[in-house]
Amino acid sequence: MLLIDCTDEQLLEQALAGNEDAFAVLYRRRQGPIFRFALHMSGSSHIAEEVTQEVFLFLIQRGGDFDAKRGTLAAYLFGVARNYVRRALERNYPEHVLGSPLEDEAASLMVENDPSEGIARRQTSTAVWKAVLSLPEHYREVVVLCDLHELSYADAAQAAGCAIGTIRSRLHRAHEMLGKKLQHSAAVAPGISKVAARCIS
Amino acid sequence: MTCREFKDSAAALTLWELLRGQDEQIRSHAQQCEGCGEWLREQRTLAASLQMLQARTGGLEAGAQVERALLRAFRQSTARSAALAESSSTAGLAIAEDAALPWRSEVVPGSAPIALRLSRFFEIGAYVAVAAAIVVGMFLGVRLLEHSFRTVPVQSNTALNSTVPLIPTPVAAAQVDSPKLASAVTHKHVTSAVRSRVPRTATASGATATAQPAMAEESQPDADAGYVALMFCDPLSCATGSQVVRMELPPSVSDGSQNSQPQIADVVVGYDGVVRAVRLVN
Repeated sequence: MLLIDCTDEQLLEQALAGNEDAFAVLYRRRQGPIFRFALHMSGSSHIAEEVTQEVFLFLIQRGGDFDAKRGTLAAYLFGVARNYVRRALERNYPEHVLGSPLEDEAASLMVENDPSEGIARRQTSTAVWKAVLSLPEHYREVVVLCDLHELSYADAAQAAGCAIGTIRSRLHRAHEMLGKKLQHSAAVAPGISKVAARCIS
Repeated sequence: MTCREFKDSAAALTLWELLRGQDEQIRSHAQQCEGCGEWLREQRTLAASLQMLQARTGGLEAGAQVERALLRAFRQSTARSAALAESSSTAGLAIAEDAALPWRSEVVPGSAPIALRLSRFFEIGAYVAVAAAIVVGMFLGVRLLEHSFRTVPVQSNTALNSTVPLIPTPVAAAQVDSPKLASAVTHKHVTSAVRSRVPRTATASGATATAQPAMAEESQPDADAGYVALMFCDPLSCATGSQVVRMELPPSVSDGSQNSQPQIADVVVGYDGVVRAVRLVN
């Protein structure tokens, strides 16, 4: 059986037995989502890289603590990443409060797949990310986990360490808050709602 | 489907499932109900905005240096585990290697394991020092208290040697001034005042009192009993030696009764020849 065909749990088991290739495959498979989760949560690529490294170091040192009966390895890694993001945000709190440097970095990080896309789309994405970053942490993490990373409610609950009902209620409240923030942004920059409307049509 | 059922069903779905609109019941209710239809449109707009953000950040990944550092850390961790399994001596080397891990400071400048260990060492050292200071302080405090308790009787013994009939009560003194009332003075009034300054042993020839703390504890009640203070005395002027003299008093002086027997009395005489206290022996 090729390593690439193994499940996350099988790769972890082999990695803990000392198989470096298994660890490399697992890292390449999971580092992107973890990096983006930290990036969406913090708006800083530096924090995102730091968190990614810490998460996989944690896996090297304490990967044996993972219990497959309690959920998937992906949700487990998101849970570890969530804790490291919190610590990083607390450490960089003054910088984060200022807001603008991180948000500007967030805007500059976005990939321009198609240069012909209009400025309105870029503005929309920036406004959405700023709105997500301005949410309180509890609401931000459920939006990032469920909406941006498409985790199921069960996996999000495992990552956030709370009940599924809590995830639903937080998500509902977060959507209301995001809707209001985006309406306010649309009032300032009318292109946002038009672009969004065009996306779903 | 009612609006409440619509909201419950919609809440059970993720934003993406709502965006895809696969639930027929929700879709049909949103077409019939204007309020629910508006809410669903808002959710879809939000989902579209988030989808746009997701698409634009979807290709972002950690840098290659993170993977290199992690693989190096993995190798070192594996080597350390193997070394630990081999022997304790090689484990010491592995720990020394671990203390100098280059990969950690390379990617995360903020973290420094050696510094952390040193700070932990100093922290524990500070706790130990504080605990030791508390223990020494308590020990010295106890010793000081013991010393102060021990010096109190020694001082009184010194005073015994040097005798100082210090503070008889004015009532006692006044009563004793009258020879007729001397025998009527109860022991209670003066025993405590005399006890600390009357010599432990008194000889018939008027031997000098000696302070023997061990003996004093045993013989003190008998030796001190019955003394009557006869005067006030300034502690400064009376802080010198005194003597106990056993003397015979004529019957007329003793109590003025018809008893013709002479009275034996112990008299405490100060350095100035003034009688400080007296006790009738028989």
